[in-house]
Amino acid sequence: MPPADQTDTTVDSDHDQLDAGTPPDGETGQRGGGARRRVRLLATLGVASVVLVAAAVVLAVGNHAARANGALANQAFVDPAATADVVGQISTAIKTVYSYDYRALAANEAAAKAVITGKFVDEFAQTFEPVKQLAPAQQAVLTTAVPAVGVALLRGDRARLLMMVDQRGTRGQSQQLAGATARLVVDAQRVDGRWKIAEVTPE
Amino acid sequence: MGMPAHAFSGWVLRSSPMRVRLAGLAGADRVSIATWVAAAVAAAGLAAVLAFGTLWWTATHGPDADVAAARDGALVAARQIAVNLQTLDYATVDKGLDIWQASATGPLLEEFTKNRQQYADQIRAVQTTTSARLVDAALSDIDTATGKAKAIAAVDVSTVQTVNGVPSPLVIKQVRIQLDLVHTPDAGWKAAAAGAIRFENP
Repeated sequence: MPPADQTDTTVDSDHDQLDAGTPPDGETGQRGGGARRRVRLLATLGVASVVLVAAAVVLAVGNHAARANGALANQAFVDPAATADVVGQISTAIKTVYSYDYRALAANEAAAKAVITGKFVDEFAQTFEPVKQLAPAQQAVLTTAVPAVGVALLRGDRARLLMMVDQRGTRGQSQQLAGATARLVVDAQRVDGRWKIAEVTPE
Repeated sequence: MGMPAHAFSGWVLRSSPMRVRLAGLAGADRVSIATWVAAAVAAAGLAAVLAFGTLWWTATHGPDADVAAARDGALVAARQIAVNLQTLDYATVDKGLDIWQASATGPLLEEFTKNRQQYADQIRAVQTTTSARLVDAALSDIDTATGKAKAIAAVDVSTVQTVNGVPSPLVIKQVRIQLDLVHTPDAGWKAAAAGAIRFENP
């Protein structure tokens, strides 16, 4: 619809209407029809734009709802690379945080602090303080394994994992052994691209 | 300078063709501008409908949505199967073993079917009742292409042994279970293997 041509048509038809008393001849009737067609086109486009914009809003809201609250909001296994990342990094982090050697406590503490965040920072400090005091005298060594990991939730920079954790501790020259098994729910948070332990809840 | 306002308007009014032409131009511009605007809005609306429609469709019907739905379905099944396989009452052994078999497929079902009588005899002999409470469960793997998944579960298993008609005190054991799940075409996810997650020496 080229507007330049239509402008002339309107001018002419307005002019015709102002010539009062002149009955509309065939030509002016045709021109009046053109104006009506243009108004009809405008009305049609107006209605279409309202309907289409309304439909787009409905679809956008539906799409957002499906992605924010639907099954896809949880990207666990939907995004296999991200799922493998969080499993690998948090398994290593759990082993780091729950392992120490009385001969390398400062290094153990530094390594652990690098893989924890939020609430768990204080919790770790509370559990590691007695270790620093007691481990050297006891010649204590603690090592941790993660035999199984499940991913319950992966949403943006947050994840929740169910982890089966085994620990083996030795004390003194006699290497007196102690073992423990645990079931942990680990809340993880991605900080600067690295997954860190934010909370640990034994079950 | 000094020209009264009415002089100018009077000139316009007297120049009738000019007035009409100006008025006509303004009306034509309004209609055509409105038409262009409506067309542009309609086109943008159509593009947005196509874009958001596609996004919504893939969010609910695409391959990612299929994986998410399979994952959620497998977990629901795993939670129930983990409890089923840790529950057995010596008073209702046949019903209990029926549930075991209904939860299993493949090698695990073969094992249950083959040893059913042996299990029933054993549990009746020791007169134990075990009941399970699911603490938590999560998938550790899923492959929708092959219809296979792995799940782990934390289950608290309570056992009561009846000795000379008197039930022993409840013993609660914290159990860690691993399930290999297979998606059966007719009955959804079932366990093809089940076992305890054993202590891994660190």
